[in-house]
Amino acid sequence: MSVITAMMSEKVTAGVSRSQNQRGSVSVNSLTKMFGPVKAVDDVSLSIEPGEFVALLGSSGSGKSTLLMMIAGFEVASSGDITLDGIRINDVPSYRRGFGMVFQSYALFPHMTIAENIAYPLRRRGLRGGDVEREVRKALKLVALDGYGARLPNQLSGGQQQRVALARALVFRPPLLLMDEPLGALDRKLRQQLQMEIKLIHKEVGSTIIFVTHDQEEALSMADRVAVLERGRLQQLGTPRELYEKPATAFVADFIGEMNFLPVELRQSGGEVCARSTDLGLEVVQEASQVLTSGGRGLLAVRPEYVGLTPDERASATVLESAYTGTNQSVLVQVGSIRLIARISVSPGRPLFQSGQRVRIEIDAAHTRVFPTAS
Amino acid sequence: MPNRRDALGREHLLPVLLLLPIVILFSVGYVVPLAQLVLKSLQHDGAWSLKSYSEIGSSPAFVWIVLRTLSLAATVTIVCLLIAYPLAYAISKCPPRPAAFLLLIVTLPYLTSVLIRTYAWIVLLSPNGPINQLLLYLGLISEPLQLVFDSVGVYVGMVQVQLPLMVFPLYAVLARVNPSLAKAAQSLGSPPTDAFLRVTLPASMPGVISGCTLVFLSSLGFYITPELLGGPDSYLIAQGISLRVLILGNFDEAAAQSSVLMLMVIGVFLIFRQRIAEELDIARITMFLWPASPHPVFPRNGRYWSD
Amino acid sequence: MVDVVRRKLLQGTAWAGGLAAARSLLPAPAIAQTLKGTGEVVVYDGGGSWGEAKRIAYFEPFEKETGIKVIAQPRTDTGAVRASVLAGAPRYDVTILPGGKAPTFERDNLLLPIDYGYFEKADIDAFSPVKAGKFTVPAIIYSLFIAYDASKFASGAPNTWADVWDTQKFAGRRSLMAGTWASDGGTFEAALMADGVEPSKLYPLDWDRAFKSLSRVKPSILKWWNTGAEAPQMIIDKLITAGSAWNGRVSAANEQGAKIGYTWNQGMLQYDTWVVLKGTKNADNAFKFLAFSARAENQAKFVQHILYAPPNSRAFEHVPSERAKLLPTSPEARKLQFVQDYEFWNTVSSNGKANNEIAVAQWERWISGVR
Repeated sequence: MSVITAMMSEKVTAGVSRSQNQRGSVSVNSLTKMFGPVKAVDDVSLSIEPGEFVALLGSSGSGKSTLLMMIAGFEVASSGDITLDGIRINDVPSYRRGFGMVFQSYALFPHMTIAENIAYPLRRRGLRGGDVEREVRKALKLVALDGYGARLPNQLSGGQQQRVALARALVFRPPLLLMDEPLGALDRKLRQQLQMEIKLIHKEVGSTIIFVTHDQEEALSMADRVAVLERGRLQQLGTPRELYEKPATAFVADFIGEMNFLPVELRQSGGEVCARSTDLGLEVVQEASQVLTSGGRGLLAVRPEYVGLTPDERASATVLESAYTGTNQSVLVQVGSIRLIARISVSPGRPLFQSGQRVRIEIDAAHTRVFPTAS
Repeated sequence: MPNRRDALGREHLLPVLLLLPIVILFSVGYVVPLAQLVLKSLQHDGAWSLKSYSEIGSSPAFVWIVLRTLSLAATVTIVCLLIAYPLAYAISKCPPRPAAFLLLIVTLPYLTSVLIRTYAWIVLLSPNGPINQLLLYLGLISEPLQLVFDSVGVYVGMVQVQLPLMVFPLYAVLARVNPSLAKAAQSLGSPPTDAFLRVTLPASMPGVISGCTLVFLSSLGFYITPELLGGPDSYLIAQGISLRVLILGNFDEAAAQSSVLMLMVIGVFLIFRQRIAEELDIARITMFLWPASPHPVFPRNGRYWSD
Repeated sequence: MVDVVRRKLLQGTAWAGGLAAARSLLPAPAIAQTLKGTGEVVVYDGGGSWGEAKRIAYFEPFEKETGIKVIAQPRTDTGAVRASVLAGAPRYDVTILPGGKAPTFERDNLLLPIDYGYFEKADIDAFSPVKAGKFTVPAIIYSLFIAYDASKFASGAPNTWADVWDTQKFAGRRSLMAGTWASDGGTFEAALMADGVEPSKLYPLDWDRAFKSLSRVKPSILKWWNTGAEAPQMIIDKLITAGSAWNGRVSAANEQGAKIGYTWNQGMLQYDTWVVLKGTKNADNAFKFLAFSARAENQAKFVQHILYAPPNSRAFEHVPSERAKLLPTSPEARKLQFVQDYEFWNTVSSNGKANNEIAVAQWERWISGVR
């Protein structure tokens, strides 16, 4: 309570850009949101450090937006807690939570000029006159829109409007910035440009950012950590590299990057699980801690770049199709009833794989993950 | 190549041809009689004269009646706005199908004859009518209230008739107002009421203006409802005009009074015409072309928001 | 007695057209020409029970006897009728105008003189108390009288306009016809009688005195009525206890079970007249129709279906006495009433305005509070 009040009453002071550095930690404990019988968010817990850039990644209906709306205070949690800097804020109305927010639809006030839009949060906080003007000018500079203050929102392009929205959300130096698919309405080129700008601005202002997106490339390239959601459940929260290299679930493994899934038989013995594929003549042993099964069927996940191919006339695998992309060749291979993709780096002088060619498959066991088959 | 000019000409010909019937209808059925009306008002006993105008201008009763008409129209407009805004706001928050259904309900009274509706109000509001009977039964009143043949009756009757004219433009605008605007305002520090007053309300002003203009203008010409539901003091400009035509056969003076009324209407309309044109257009498209989907129009900010 | 004076005056005005009018009248043969003809005639219908009565008593028998087809047309506002004549395409061949309106049509040269050659002399002579005019044939006579809630005033009912004005003695709200209807409503005459003016001394109306009297009754007025059905309905609905009403409407309501009391005393006899509109293509047929409807037997038949009095006094010979006494021109009723002076109402004063228009202008000022 006192923290919130302090946050609200604090006057923005010029020149200190990382003053909020120690604030903006968000944690969510066992948060659930029911829409009728449907669990839009299902028992999600996560904890975000001050100044961290976290992406909420998932397809539509995964609950990522609902989670963000609960943090923002526009949706009420059915159960669980949301805390901001250690204070439970479930019952604090949004306008007193003190975060900045950027929407997919920009949500600029159409009847106000750009400058008035950006001044809005300052005026709500009691700032007047020259202070407002100075802060607005700085904010416009931050988003590289100097001199646009007198225009109306509909006189700006989509990318420019979103930059104004960003300036408006940051001008009062909130410890926390929420972004709901902010680049979803922009075309690809503009999106990539703004991704970079947002990262730079994040470095400069140091606010915690929670960024909702359905674009995994965007999430991986921008965020410090990514939370993958599926059907309301948190699948994994980790750095982009952790997600790519050590996916916690088959869903994450599938959702992030490209992945081959090979059916295997599982046998557990002691602390280890042995996965065997007779088609491939392959056996992988892994720690049982995460896989946990008493036997049965499972999936062995391996990324295409860890699948090696060697031409071999006596081998049982056949090349079905291939695609040459300059540095790589993607090769679709069939062995028994299994199909998998290998990504082979092309080296000068070595011939490319051809359709119908017989090949031997080599899989690097160190780069595989074993998952039990669902149910 | 030689056909190029032809093709261009044809391209322009089609819209002109399509517009022709309405232009003819409009000029023959509307502009010509109105021009005749104005010309008639500038004549007296067949000769050019401003006598009709000097007569109504020098009549304190006419000035009073005009003021009374204006104030009645203004009151009806304000009451309509106060009722219609929350209604339109609620409908704009509904999913498309229920919204289309609710709009249909709002429209229904508009499709009934004014006379029938007005008589229905006499029955409902009369001392022996169901409203008074219910209040008596509930013990809220000990004697029937004078609801009809009073200004209350006129307001009730006119507000009901005029409500759709207010709801439609408001709905059309509110359905287009980006729902994220209110959230954005709250995230920037405005409590919900403040967010509404500073953001949603100003963003819906075009609808408020066109709704108010439509209701105000059409209220100026009201005649049957005040005559049937009004009390002994109820007397409006349209009643004066109609009695000059129907009872006195004094067409010159009726034409002059009608011209004054028309001038007021044109004046108000010119002030707000752009807004009205915009909103009417949107309202028509929204309601009658895609009744099941009230959001066919792209917002000013470009792409429409999702979820 | 008042009645006699009025009648003479009216007789005088009816023939004031002078010998020009007489030309078509005097040569009328003792035995009327045959009414047989061809083609059609467009006649004002009036709708409701009135239209029905006309259809049974006049339209159908006329078609049968003459072979001329009657095309019944519904009611139109007099303003629209006037406009149609001015446009050269009259809405009807024969129509009915309120007695107070016909003179303005006459003045503005919108009517054809009636060819009385088709009429029976006996019928023409029997028109009473309203005589046939150069351009007008009386159609119906009715009374604007005092009506009241009979259940409220079982003993000691209001009997004069002064009683209607007296809300101490006769409690309850009132309704009179809006003054915008001028002569049609009788409201100004009622106001003067309420203030003690003798019916025989009403005309010319004293406007100031009338409005002073109206100001006294205004606080008790629930609303000024505009259509004939309103006043009886307000009595039935217990909204008012007394007011002015037309006898036909009151009788019709009572026939349906209402308990509306009335008195002929100080009642105003008003009338509608048939006119033939200028520009008609069926003038002869129109005159034939009027001659047919002027016959006593036909008017008696008409009275069987609606309680509007027959202008042909000989019609009473064919009406049962039970029915006759409900009619405003029955001997008992007649002597209590007077005929409204439409001539006064249409007199044009020095400022070029007829009294009808003066009344409306003053009424507008009075209702606006600036009189």
